[in-house]
Amino acid sequence: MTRQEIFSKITTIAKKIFGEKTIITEETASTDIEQWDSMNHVILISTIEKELNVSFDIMEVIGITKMGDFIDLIEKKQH
Amino acid sequence: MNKIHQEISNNLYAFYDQIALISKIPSEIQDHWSVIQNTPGSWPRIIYKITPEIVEPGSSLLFSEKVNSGSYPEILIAGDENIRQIDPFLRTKGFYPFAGWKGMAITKELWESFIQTNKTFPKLPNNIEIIKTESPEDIEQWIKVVTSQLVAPARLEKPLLKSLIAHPAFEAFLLKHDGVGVSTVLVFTSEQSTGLYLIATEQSAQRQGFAQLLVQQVIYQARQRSIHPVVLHATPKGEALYSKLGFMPFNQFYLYRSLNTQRV
Repeated sequence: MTRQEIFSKITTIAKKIFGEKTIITEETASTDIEQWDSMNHVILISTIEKELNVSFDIMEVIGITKMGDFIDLIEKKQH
Repeated sequence: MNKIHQEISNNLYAFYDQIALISKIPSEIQDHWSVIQNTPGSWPRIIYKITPEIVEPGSSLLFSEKVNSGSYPEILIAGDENIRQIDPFLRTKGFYPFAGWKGMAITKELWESFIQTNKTFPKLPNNIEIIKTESPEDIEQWIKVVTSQLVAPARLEKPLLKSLIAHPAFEAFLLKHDGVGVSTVLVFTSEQSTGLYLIATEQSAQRQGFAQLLVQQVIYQARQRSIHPVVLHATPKGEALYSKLGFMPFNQFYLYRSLNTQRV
């Protein structure tokens, strides 16, 4: 998957969780979206794991603060 | 596990034990985990002590029964001891990690070296005072700052915070700027360490060094009274500030949330 494809898939998942009108960029951070609380954070992580067939390590998970972090991790796992 | 790692964990566990005790929240202490349970809408139901033995068949079965009963918490805190063994186990029980806290401490040696390097201790400007929160007005201000900065303020109810402030195991300090409370800290002294909790600064007063001044004064006082380490559990946002004040990271705590519990 290209970076763009990963971003597109993650955006679709994020919009389902945070609302269709939410603006998502690679720089969108948890502090930018009111609905990005701890509960939605775990829903986001578990959904991305399931739909993109990846698994995030505990150390990786606690380092995630913005959308771009997911893309970086998934790209790294592809190589 | 070395002594300081252990003490950072022990202070956190003792803090939650005290909260359960003071607020008469039902709690349960098992060999491999401890739980604070509460009614929805107040203090989050939380499992706060997880030891690696939780994955053993007997413990695992009991843990599963409790979780599956639906009465058990949405938040769980695990230390870093054998986390790679505990993590897959927790995920099979429906818990996912969502945040990390760094266990940090300033020991007697670290403090001495910090004082050596930073020869002058900052004096408080005239328009700033740090007080032990005791009067009803100050208690109101302290609670206002704390609840405005917590992620889920509704869950830390006023009566609970008031009980903590009034209890001898805790001391609440408030930094006032031009007479208005802007920064808070709750000091919890256990047998072997002093723990700093609920360090918060009013939104409009952030990035002006108030929390730094407050924490520095509190460390200074703690060091005068005891040789035991001062410990705290820092979010990634706070880590840089505490490093600047001489704290060193020693261990890591992982916070998990259950996907199976409903929002409260």
